[in-house]
Amino acid sequence: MAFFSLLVAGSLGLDLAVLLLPSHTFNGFGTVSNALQLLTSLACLVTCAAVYLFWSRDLLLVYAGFAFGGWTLANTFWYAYTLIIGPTLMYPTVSEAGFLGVFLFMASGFLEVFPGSTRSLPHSLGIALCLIMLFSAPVYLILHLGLTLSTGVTLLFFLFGGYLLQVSLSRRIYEDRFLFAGTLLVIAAHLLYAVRETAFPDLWLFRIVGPLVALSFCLLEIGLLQRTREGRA
Amino acid sequence: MILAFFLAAAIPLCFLLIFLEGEPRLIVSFLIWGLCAGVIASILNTSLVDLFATTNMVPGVTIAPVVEEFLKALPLFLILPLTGRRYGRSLLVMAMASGFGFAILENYVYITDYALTGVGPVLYAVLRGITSSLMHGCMTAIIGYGIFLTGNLSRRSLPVLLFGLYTVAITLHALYNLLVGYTGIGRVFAIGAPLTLFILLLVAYNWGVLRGEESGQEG
Repeated sequence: MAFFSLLVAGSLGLDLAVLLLPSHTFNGFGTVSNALQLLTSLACLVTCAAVYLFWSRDLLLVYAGFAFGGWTLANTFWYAYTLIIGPTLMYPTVSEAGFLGVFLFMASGFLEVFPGSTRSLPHSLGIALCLIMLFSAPVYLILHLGLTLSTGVTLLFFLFGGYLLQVSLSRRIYEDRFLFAGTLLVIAAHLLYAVRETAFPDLWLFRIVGPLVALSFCLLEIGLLQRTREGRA
Repeated sequence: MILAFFLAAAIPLCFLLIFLEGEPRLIVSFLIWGLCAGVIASILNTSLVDLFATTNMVPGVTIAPVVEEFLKALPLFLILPLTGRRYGRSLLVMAMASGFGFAILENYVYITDYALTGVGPVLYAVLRGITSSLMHGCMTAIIGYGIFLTGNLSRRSLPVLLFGLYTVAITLHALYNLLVGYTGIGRVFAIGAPLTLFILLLVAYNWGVLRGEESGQEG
């Protein structure tokens, strides 16, 4: 838990550096950010596997483990590609599949582990409103850039992200604060990533995406560990 | 030629199917599907490479993993959600059989394409046998094992989970192709990674036995 708190501090520090520094970056920012993301996803993967094998039989750990594992592979592929073939990595690539996998694994984990959905009308209207607001972004991008492979994959990010949001709201994940905060941040970080790659590849503000992903994974992992410690698994 | 080899391998196996029952029958069926997937992938890959010829996409890294992993795992994508039947850890073996079927056909294509002479084809076949063939089997086995691991699934989450496992398989496959095709050190990885993955899957498959638990998880 303390280790993940340290990683949270590191991620917040990097995001603050982007927001507060006059140049919005520093020498080696990319390397530090990339290393932090890989270290975080690997640590989350190993923790999920170890906790599942030796302490708890919480199925959510398996789903989260697959999510972190797939993401680690996708990120490794992304770095390997830019190092070996060149920095002109086009969007979308195979690594997008691994990033999308996080939404899918977390959504199916929540569906399996958390009890039935809430069906009250105000609650359903709230979820619908959230989803409508969310989908305005890809619709705007498609209207301005046309329906291309990039905007199509970005739409896919929003569809899967929206699905995870819908599942987490209807399954009352919000009662588990860390898990819900992590889920929301995972969605936000990946949607920002997709928008950046489609329309604003050089905008400084989007440098927060990498540390934001690390932060979201740490929160998810803390939430999972808390579930295990409190015996809610 | 690829179609001829597919038929030469698949027809005798179809006759064998008549005598088999239960799990062995399913495993051989998956193997035949793998061979069939090899033929379809060969055609699809060629068409897609032509389609994306004007972009800077690297076909072996970007297109092939998406197409091949989808085709190899197609029976899992169709059978499980449609029948709703639960399978035990043997799902890993069935999925692996599909991957190996695919690899058999792919090996044949490469061996005939390169037109090697002397001991060349034998060495090449052995090398591919312990690297790429193993990789194909293990990638699909990951999907099978993932489904088994998540056990008593509700039908609602299964399609999402299947797609998630598919994304893991294609990412791993793409990483393998990237390292093997474009780096020197990657070739060392090419020999090591599939074997390591195979051993890990073997340990995972026998985890209950290794921990002294009863293997009562068969479906």
